[in-house]
Amino acid sequence: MTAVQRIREVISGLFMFIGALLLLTDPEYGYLLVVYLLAFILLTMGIRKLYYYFTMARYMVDGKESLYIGVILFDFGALTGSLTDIPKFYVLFYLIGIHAFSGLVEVLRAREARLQGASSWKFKLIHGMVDLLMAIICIMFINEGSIAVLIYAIGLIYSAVLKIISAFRKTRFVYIQ
Amino acid sequence: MSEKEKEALVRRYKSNIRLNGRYYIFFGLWAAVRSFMMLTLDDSILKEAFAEMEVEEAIRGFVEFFVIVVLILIMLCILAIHFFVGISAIRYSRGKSKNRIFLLIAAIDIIVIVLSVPNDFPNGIRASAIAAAMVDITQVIMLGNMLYSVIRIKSLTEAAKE
Amino acid sequence: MQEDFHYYATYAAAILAGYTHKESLDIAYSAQFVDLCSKTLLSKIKAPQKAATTQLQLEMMDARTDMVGLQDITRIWASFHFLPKDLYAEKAKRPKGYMRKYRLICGPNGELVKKTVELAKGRTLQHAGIAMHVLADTWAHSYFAGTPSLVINNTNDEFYELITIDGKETERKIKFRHNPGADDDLDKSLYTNSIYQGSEDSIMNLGHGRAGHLPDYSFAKYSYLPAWDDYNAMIKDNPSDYRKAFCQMIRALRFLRGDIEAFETDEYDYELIAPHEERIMQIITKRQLIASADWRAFGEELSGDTVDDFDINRYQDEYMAVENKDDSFLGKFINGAILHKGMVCRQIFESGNMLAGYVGEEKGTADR
Repeated sequence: MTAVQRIREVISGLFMFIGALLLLTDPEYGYLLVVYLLAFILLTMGIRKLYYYFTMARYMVDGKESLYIGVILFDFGALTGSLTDIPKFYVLFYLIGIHAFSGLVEVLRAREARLQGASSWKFKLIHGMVDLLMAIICIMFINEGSIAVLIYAIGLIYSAVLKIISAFRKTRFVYIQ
Repeated sequence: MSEKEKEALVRRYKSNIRLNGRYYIFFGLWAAVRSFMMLTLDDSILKEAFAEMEVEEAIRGFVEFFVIVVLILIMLCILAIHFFVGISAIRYSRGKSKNRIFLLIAAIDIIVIVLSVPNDFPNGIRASAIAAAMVDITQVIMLGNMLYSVIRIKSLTEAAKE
Repeated sequence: MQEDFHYYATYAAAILAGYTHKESLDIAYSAQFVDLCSKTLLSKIKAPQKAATTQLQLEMMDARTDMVGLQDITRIWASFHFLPKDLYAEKAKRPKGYMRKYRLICGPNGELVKKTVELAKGRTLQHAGIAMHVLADTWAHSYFAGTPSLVINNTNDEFYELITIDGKETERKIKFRHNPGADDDLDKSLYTNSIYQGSEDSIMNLGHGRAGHLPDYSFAKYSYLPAWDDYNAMIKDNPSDYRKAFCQMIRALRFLRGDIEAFETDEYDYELIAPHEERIMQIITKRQLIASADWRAFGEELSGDTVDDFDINRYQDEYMAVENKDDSFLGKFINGAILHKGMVCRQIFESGNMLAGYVGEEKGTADR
């Protein structure tokens, strides 16, 4: 990693940490923040996809796909932001999905790294197991809305810590063929 | 126009029909999901509608259930139309079908969508309304592009035969 | 291209160009080593990581795809495996961002391949081997770019293999699957490719991943729609291209040896392969996953000597033990790689394209 990338990782980690603290301070307000954050992310993804279509993908074979996906994402984001009262149940499902999926990917990567003889497999495995554990906790507390915020905040803190740690790690590849 | 250019154009238009068909199905599914989300996550829409109904209390429950069933059936019909048009377009683009009924439905749908765009702004200009209008306009472009591509393929292949 | 061409065919080309058995082995070893010299390996032997000529799958999995990460990826892949054909190519009505990627499309007989061969003149056999790898790949990897790009490297399912049956060329639809563990099924035209990823800078959109190993099979002739070519069907005739690659390698090696005064693009030593034409075309057109055994047998017949199996570990101990690394086999390879990468990156930078990063004034290398 270059110096610039490391600084960017640290700053990004700090922002995530601050976001998590804000969520923990006020779970009820924080819950709304989670919803609006999701809406914002989806809107941004939609706009980026549309921008990508108009600047790049329209010149590509079957490039219209980007246009259609961008419009759907934008609509999804706008819909999410406009719903006045989303049952926390659904937010929890979304969080469970994200944590479970990313946890599974990390566990599979850890397996691959271990097969390659890389020492970083332990790090990946722990990361994956933590994400899966968070998903399980979400399911256990599915009927309690403020838990959604708590778990999301913990997830943010965890990711923030990992980002900052990885920023200070030596960039070495220790996978041995 | 050289033969090579004509072939490339025909490929482009066939690809357009296929892609538009595929995403017309996708848009149909999205419309169904969207409607479902709006009705279940924001139950104020239905509550307000039911509150305005002048129905005897004894049968209110049954009427509300009936309304929901009808809404679901309408959503399924719309979804079925999307699937029919989409799958027909894909089959047409691959040369597996010469049936062009789907184009008639697509043309009607364009008119219906254009007429319904103002209904996307019941409460003025908002992000959700703009997004809904974008979806509608994109569908119009999608269907229009599909129709145009079919016409162009027909004229290019007929010119080739001459 | 694979080991069969980079190692064994390069050996045969070197023999035909007049090199000795030992020299040809060194050239061939270096040509093949380009596909294996990763940061992981360099780290293991405590060699400078800026000499990396490839990236392992795991390295790429963890590779960042921000601007800096993309530049790192592009420096390696565009320099060694997807040498750009025309850094000043024009295409109407395309924005700058698109053209930066378009101009990295690989192809044979570009200005850069001439510079690649000329740079190796008067230098080590290892550098010659690197040049041969790069030259050969310009033929196999044509029409793809050595930078992650959906709009350049993507393909769709309009892939047809052109197979000659009973003297008649027929079209057979190619089916792709995403199963890296399974071998390609040549009888059914069932091949593995990288999974579709809608993100422009995804690693899955690097090089010819979306076409699977088809570019690396010398027997394959196929048509497909490159993402950048406005729905024009591209016919990739690998047997013809591999033959040209082989003959151009001989020519380049003769230039490096001093037999001819200049190396020009689009010139091939067909006369030198004439006595072996049938044999060579038999090897090239044979439908098999890897043609190492055939190329090896051919090379051994030419030289009368045994061609050793390729062993990635052969020169590593020497490199680690010796005091003056530059005198070791791998030391020479490393120097050649750094020099070549620097030249290519500088050319890309000077064309106004930042995808390979900023190139400093002094050593002409963009690596950190």
